[in-house]
Amino acid sequence: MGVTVVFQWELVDGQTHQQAIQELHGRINNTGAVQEGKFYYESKFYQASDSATTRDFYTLKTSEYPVTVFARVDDSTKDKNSCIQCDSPMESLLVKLREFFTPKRTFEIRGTRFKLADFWIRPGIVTSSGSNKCVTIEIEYTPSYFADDCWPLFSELGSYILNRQIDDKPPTLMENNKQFNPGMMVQQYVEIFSRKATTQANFQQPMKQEQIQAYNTQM
Amino acid sequence: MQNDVQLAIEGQKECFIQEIALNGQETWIQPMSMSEQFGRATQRIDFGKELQDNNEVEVKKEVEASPTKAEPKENPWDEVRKSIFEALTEVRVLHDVLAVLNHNTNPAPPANPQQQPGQPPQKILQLASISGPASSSTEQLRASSVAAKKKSFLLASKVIKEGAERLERNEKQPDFHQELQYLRQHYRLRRKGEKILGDLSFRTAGSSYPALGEFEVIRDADCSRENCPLKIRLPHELQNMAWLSIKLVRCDINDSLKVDLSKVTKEETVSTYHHVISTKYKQKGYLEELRQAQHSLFTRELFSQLCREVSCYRPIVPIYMIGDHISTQIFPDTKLIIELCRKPFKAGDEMPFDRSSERRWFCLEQHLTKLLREHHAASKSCPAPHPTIATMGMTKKQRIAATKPYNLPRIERMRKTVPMIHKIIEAAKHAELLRRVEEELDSIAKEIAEPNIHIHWPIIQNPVHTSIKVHFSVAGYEMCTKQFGMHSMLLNVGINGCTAIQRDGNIVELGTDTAEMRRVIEGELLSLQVACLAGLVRIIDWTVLSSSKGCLLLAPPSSSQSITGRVSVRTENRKIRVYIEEKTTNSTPSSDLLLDPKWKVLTDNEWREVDWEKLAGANFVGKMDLMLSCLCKAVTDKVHNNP
Amino acid sequence: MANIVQAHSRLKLELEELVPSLVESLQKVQLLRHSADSLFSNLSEGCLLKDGEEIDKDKYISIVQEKLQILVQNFNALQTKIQKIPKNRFPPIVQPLGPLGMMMLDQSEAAKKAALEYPPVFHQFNAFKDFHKILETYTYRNSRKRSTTSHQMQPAGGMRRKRPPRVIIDSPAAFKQHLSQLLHIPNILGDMKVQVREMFGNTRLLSISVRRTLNCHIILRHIQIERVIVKGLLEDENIDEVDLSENSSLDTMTRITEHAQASLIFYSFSSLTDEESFRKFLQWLRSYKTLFHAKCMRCKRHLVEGYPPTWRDFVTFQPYHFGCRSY
Repeated sequence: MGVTVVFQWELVDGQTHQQAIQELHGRINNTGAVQEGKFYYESKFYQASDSATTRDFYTLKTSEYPVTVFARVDDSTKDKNSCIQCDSPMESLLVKLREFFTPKRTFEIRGTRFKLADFWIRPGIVTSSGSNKCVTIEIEYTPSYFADDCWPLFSELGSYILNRQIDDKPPTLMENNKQFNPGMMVQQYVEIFSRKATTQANFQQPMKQEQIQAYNTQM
Repeated sequence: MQNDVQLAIEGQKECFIQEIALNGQETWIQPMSMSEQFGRATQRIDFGKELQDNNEVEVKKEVEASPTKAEPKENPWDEVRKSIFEALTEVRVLHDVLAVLNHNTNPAPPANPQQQPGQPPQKILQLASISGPASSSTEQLRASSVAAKKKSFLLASKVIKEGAERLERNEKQPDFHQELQYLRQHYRLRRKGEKILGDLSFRTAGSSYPALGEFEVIRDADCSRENCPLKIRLPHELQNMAWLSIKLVRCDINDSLKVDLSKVTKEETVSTYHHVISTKYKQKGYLEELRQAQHSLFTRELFSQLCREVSCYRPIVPIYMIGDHISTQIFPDTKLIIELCRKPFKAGDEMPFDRSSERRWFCLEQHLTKLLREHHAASKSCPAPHPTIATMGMTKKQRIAATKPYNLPRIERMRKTVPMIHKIIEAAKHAELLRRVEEELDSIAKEIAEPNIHIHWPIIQNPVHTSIKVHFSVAGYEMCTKQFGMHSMLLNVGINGCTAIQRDGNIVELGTDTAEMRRVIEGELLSLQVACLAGLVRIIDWTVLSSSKGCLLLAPPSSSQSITGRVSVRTENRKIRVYIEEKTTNSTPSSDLLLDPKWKVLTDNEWREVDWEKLAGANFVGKMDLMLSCLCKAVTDKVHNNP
Repeated sequence: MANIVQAHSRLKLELEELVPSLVESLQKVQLLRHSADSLFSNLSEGCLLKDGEEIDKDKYISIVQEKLQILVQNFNALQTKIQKIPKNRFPPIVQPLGPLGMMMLDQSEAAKKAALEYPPVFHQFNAFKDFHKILETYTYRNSRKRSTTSHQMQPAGGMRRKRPPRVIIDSPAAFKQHLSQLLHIPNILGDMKVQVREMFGNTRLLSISVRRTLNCHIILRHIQIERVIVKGLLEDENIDEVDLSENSSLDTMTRITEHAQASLIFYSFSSLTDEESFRKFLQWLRSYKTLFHAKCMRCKRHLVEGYPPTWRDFVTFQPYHFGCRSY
């Protein structure tokens, strides 16, 4: 658990998501990183039935924090970090509350995990309801908890992998000597999901049965 | 009643003791009388204050008018009083000293005021020749008092003796219930029908070993006086003494492939660890027996736990379990054998090992015991679920893992349980490796006399890691090495090998074979000597022309044109060789092209090896020191003679 | 004012009481001394008088006896006088009468016995002291080496550097005090937080957290470093749970552990005293506060194979990658 930053890969014209991932894998391999297992992120968007008093929120489950369920209110203020870290009974609780909160969309990220010294690099494709949305690269640096301190490392590694210039300041979320906590990572993912959701909101399709099956066997 | 006890009741002491003099006299502070107390209380009341308030203005004026008069507040008489006190103290001290010198056993005069002041106490300064008849009466008095005292002492001692004898007689009467009470202080007993049963097992301490640990307490009705009326009956399997013997044995690399283990003829035991719990204190007969039984129970639980783990734990190197043996190869040529030994118990028996050839280390024994006790403790102390709806049997860390949150590697680390057998194998590997390193270092130190090897062993080790500091120095030239050498290292002895960390940050990985370590150290020792020489050379004004690890080229200090007399030091074949450049008299045909005399260097010189070991000196650097200073003189002479 | 007057009058009374008694007792002391003097002179002369005349033996003895009696009388007079000195005016502290060792010289058996029984450690202490002295001369003789006296080794000015006295640490409190002295490096406490855990005897575990970067656990014996382990910032939650058997799970920290061990060797086997080398080590450790944002001084980059510049030069404390370092 160290500083984690999520970057979004911008697709070049005519490039498919798969091609982008291939290219990324090549670049990451060039840094000397080695593959170490797979990872997944699963997120659900819950819509409140009474939007006047309650708010919508996302839940996020991940292989990186296997016993935790994150819940994050869909808030417009970006820098406010309002993430709840819950125990696994949270999910069954939400099933009981489906009168008030209905699951609307699911998001998934899957990919291969790379390790370079103390860096974890997790490139993956964001899929929502079976269709690819975008490509993200998550970089985690385990020894440090202060993005201000270790940002030079991120910008050097990130700019090589992404092949573009990275801002010379960490995201505003982690600035000003804030100690990193996993909520910040959730926040970044939720931002990406919600961005996609607004642009492609009409693209809703239930998850196919086979996919669920495949996911179950994988586990 | 006859057994009346007379109690002396004394009033509570009302006086404080001010001092106790050397002769035992106590000086008391008399308690204050009522009037004194009253006087003291009134002293505290500041009557002047109210008056002061009224006359404030006046006082102020006064103060302004005479600032010097305000000084007396400091109490000028204090000094005087103090010095008078001191003087008086001196006088008293003088008196005390004199009193002590006098052997004055009597307390000071007020204690016996009836003594006339004129009559001198004869005890003072008694001279043998002048002890006149006057003193005889007091002598007599004293003698009679001594006799009286002696008599009363005799009487008192007799009474005490009688009482003691009676008590002794009482105690000799064997009493079953007293013994039972005594036993209950050590073990848990309970009544079952007519029987009294005791419990030996460690169940209350968290053990879940199913073996029977009960014993029966029997009353021996017709026992003689000397014997104990309490007897115990142990179950059959507990009547044995059991202990674990951990052995490290040298073996072939393919040893584990051999089918018939019984055919192994010659086993060279490297080191042995007997796991025996023993104390030096011998207790009463049955307690000793019970303790032994309890220990054998513990040992058997330990062994069965190890066996269970062996059967379900699959490491890369297989572990074999045959009968009472568990064996595995910890290193290619070394085998670890854990053996459960049994022997019928007899009181006062010693443990049967030959201690001559085997070397006992306590670390493994202790480690084993500790492991099982930790295991017990873990199964015993399970924290209550919090909140109450949470799952039972979770530790606090597991509970907070979700909300903290812990990431994947951390949770994996938390979930991982390392079996005891694995831990003990690791500890055995470390212990064996440490033994090898120690032996090798010893033998190196024995074989190589010259540069000194200093080894700093740590006080606190841990079962799987030890770091040893190794430092080399040349006797007499320590400062040279300190300044220029980089030749200390840190040996980290781990489980599967050790690493040597050198002063410049380089890391040398050493395997389990200590020959590698030896080579590293030998190399270090050679380069140390050369480096030390380089340090010395700078001090004695020679010039280092070139130096690399293990090689040196030196030039003499004189600022002559001729650069003959250079000295070269090299390490070849794990030996140091020294060469000196020499001017040959019968010069070889000189070149036609290079006529300048300075080029003669190229043709005229020849290098000769020096058998430096024949030089005088304590060690290499010392010898070189001598040689260089001699050379230096020779060269300067040469330069001055033939300019 | 009234207070002062009151105090003065009290003092005056007191002095009026004390001074005469002092004068009297001093007179008595003088008398005693005089009589003792005359007795001893008489004794030393023996039967011979000054003029060479000899006197009768019995007469001589009677003279001596007489003088003795005078002496005793004087002594008693002094004693009675001293009893009259108002005792309660004295401060209740009993002053020590003299050195205990003098009791050994006492002629009387009782005093000798007391001296023997009372301080059994006394002799041992003396023996230790002697032993120490002898040892010191030996070590001093052995420590005089050519290399230490050579002209190059001496600092300029010809003044020999004095070694500070070795500090004896025998309690946790003494250690804390000593540690606070050692940590007297400018600004060091702003960057480092130090925790101490007592282990066994004179061994302690020192946990130093360098600002937002790493935790360094040091096993200290007296003031010598026995072992160093560097771990990540949040790897151990508190000092009692530090796992000293395993290296850090972070590769960077494992690497720094190795460097720290090398630096430990570098500083501890140098010409510095223990205290100085410990302090140097702390200063070196402090330079890791820039671990994540300093560039390597040679290659001017941050990352090499995924590692930040983990090496710090032992003299200049400048950051390098392990491969870029100069030595």
